[in-house]
Amino acid sequence: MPAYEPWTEQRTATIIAEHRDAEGPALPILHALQEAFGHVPEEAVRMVADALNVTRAEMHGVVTFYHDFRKTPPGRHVLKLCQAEACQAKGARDLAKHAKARLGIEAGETTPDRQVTLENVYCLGFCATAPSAMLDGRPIGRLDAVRLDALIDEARS
Amino acid sequence: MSIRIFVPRDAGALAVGADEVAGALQAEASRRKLALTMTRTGSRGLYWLEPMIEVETAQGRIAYGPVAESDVASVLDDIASGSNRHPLCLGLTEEIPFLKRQSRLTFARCGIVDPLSVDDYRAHGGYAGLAKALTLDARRAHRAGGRVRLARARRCGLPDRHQVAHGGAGASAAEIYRLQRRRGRQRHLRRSHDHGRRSLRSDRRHDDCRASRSAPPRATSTSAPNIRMRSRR
Repeated sequence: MPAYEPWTEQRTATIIAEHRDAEGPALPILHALQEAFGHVPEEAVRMVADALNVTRAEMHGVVTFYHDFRKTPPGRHVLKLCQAEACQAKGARDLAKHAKARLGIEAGETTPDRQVTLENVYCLGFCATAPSAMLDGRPIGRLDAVRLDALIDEARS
Repeated sequence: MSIRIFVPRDAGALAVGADEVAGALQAEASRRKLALTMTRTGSRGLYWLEPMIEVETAQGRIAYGPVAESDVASVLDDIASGSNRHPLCLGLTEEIPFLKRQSRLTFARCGIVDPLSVDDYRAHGGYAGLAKALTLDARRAHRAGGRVRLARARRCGLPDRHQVAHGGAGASAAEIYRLQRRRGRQRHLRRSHDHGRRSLRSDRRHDDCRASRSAPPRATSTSAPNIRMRSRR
């Protein structure tokens, strides 16, 4: 599990400077920011908008369009459960319900001990082995309640 | 005894435990003092059989799947005996009906090669057209005029990256060159490699060499800084 550094204006400026000359720099910058801080805070969005000479509204539109970008830092582990069509057809809704009940949180929330963030995602791209999940970037297919419990235990330990 | 085994590392295969199976194979092989060469490939696309591993034999590759970590020892026994009687043995991969009925174009080498290996790419005809093109006398060809250059390009069979990039339109380099000539722009064959890199990225996963503009990979072509393929490693 990657440990994120605390957000600083200076580090954000460095990251922006690293990528701003790339072709289509907005997304590479946002990805790099999220990789460093675990989220893209409002202040950082403003800095990116300034650096790329676009309005804050425009940058806000980009950030909020991609649900992968977070506004607040995640818990120590991030469990993503796919809720797209193929996974729903293979029982993903029940699995999501099960996960929420076990963790006591809704999708998009983090457990009070900050151990686990639960997220809905809409297609991870390996539908043929649905239902799909991802724990901290590790792909998991053919998910069932038993494996889900194991993943939750792993994330909580 | 030495064996060569292929294990996919495509996200779908990883999601159902391909890495764990690869690890178990290595461990079991070293326990048995087997010389194991493992190649990580893309997926053949038979996802209900993933993780599907293949072993090289004189007759061709023999597939086993879906293999769990706990099956590894018995699968290695079956490979050692050459009996192909293991319940997970699928026989010759190329004879599996789902594969046999397919004409694979964009995915022709997917599941067969290590997508990052230039040697694998060359072993399957990669850069053959380029090698041929490089033997031609460029100055003489230039003097000979466009029509002759075009004929030569066609004879080389150099594929154009457009073939890969735009959903397999199937135009060869010669064809692209002919069209560009007609439109009166871009008079040199190699210039067709210069534009539109972006659309290649999605193809890199399964056949990186081919997607790299039909030219030898440059330093940038294997790094792809803008894609986010976290699931791949």
